[in-house]
Amino acid sequence: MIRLPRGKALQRNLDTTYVRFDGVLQSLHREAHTGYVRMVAEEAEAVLFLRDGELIAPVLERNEKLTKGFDALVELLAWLEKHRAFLEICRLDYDLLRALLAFHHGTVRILKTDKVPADPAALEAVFQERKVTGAAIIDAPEGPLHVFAADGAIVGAWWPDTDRWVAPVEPWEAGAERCEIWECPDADTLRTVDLDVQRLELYETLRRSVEQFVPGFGDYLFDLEVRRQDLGEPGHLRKGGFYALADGLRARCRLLIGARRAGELGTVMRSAVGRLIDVGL
Amino acid sequence: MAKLLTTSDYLFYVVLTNYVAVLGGVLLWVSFFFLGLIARRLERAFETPTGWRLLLWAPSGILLYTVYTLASAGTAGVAVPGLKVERGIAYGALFVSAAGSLYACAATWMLLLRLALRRARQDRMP
Repeated sequence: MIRLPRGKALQRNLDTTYVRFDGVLQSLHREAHTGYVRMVAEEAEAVLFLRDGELIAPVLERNEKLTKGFDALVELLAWLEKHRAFLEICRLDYDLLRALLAFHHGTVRILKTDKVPADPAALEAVFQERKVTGAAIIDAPEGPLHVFAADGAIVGAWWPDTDRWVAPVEPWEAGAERCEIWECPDADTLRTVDLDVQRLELYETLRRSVEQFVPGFGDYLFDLEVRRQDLGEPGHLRKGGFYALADGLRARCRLLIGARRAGELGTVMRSAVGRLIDVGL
Repeated sequence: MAKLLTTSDYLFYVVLTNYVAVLGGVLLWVSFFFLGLIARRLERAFETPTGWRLLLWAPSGILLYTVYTLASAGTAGVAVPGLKVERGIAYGALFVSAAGSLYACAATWMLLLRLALRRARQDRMP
């Protein structure tokens, strides 16, 4: 189970049988949503964090295996094509989002038993000491307690067992024996998925493929085809645009390297385009 | 009147050379035709004029010259020299063809040169 406080839920139980997953993401993108989309199904669970409408960090848990980043997104989209799931959309404030990102993508430090904070003030002192952005997981006698912090200040706490969010943090019972501090100094800018970067990489991959098949002339041919199709910025290209570019390049290169080699080039380019994640963002 | 050429000389210096010239003319025409097709592909691929139409049409003069040579070679071992005007047309057509083909080849070569220069400039860029 992906541990995550509920935040301010905007939508719950959206059935992917009736609601398109990419449509939900596009809608959140337009609204510059900051928060997450949680997907729950019988055998898989996923969380997609969004900052100002940009998809920044997907996390997928399937068959007790946790996957993050591009791999998670690819696997999730493939899985969603064949399975039914329910979506929950929650809004988060920036500080809590940073803390959650640090918790899910940061490093852990376990405090010694004698250093486990006894109350919220002591815990805040620990956070302040290193200006922690992240979370502390305290094994309190009542159950595990997740306390989130941003820049050393406590944002709030969450009791997973009862799914209760508390802010400000209430004192927990004495006798906590273990405390994990999860932190990530780059939580502000953390991003495990950047679809624009992926598109730029694909653009360069296509360029390199053409140069490889038509040495010496590839770059020129590529630029000509881009100009002919009036594609504009590669960061804004959709999957269909990339397919059109690949087909145009294949046809152009066919004039120089023949049908067989051009066919091979087309296969290479189409397979590269096929790996592009396109959820309309 | 003294005989200048023996039969075998005649066959070698007149008949055979005429046929070789005809064959050469046809092959040259075919070569330019193929070159024109290549130039056409280059023009379409690089969207730069190569004068491929000229390369296809210009060598027609070579064919004309070949036809003249074939006709003047005569039949049954008797050469039939063409009229002065016929010779003028045939050699003139050959010259125009050669000049046209050279121009079209130069256009294609210029395209390849431009591409090579562009490539060299790109390689020099940091």
